Amino acid sequence: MIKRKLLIFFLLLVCSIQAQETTWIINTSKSLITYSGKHTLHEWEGSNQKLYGRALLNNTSLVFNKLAILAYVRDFDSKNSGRDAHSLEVLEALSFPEIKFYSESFELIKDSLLINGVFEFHGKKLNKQIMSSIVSGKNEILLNGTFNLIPSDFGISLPAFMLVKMKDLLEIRYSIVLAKESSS
Amino acid sequence: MIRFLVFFVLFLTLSSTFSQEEDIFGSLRSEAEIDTSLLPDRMIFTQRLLWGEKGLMRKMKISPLTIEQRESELKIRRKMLKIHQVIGYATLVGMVAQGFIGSQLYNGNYKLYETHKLVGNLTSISYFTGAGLSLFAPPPLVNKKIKGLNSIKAHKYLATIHFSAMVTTNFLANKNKKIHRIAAYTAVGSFATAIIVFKF
Repeated sequence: MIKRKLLIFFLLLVCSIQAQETTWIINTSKSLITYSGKHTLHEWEGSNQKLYGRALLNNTSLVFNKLAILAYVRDFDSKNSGRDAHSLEVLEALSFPEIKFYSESFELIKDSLLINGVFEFHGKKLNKQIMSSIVSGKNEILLNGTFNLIPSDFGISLPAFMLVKMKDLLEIRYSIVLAKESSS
Repeated sequence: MIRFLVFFVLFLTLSSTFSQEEDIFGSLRSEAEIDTSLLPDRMIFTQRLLWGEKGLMRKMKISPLTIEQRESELKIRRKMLKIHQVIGYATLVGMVAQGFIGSQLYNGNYKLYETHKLVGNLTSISYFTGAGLSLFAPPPLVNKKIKGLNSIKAHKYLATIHFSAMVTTNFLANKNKKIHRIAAYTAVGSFATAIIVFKF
């Protein structure tokens, strides 16, 4: 009898924990991620305005429980068709079409959110710590920030121009708007 | 019982974490507009002839249109365009040298005629090899239409000019010295500019 009660209690506990979450969805039309690349001779930028993502917010602590972001390498646009085509070759876009970020570890520090997650790019997963500014509204949450990625860490061979390779660094800027979906 | 519960909790937590992550990404993928096309909508006629959906490489089943095959085609393309780049620099050196030798000939220094002919032939071989590598390389994955002028568009426009100029220069080498000279200078000027404007 005690065992059964314990099991029921446990199941209720699991259900109640899940019920405390609210789902927030990335508003694709308002969100943007931009990379900046550098070469000895010039600099350039490319943006992706097709971001897909979900965040699960803990209704009690008002901190995220989970955050998942998905982007496709084909959706980056640097306003130069040759460069974009070349990027897709370098990034082996047919084999590794996605860029993913997933986190379950968040720490609210004043107006900023420290996010510890896993970045998956070019088929390789790396742990990444990102400090993001956060502005929370009733129906919208805005995440803004910058971070760096080192392409060679993801096994990407750097493209060269005039026999000189590009700098092994991508500066990433993002502005992500999450909109409340529904309470569960 | 307690041991079983602890194990159960641990198992449930780990499996739900993994499955939740996959579930979330699965639902995101279903919402996404994914472009899975293997060939670009637009490509140069020489590329279409070889690598298009009904191109020779497909019809002869040398390179069937599959993801794996396109991935290796893109690697071939990258190598071809790298060689195109290097050959381009070598061609420019040849063109500049030829411009110098050619101007000596016009000033009456006919001792350099054979050298002019040799350098001219070598530069032409190098030029048309480089052009071939670009024209017959497998097409890129995408070829977006972008408004306004940018480096790649300028590179392509200038390529049309220097290609025509190079054909004219070679065709008129022994027929019309004046136009041969004008065509040669047009080729050098547009070729050098095409290299300068190009950014990757």
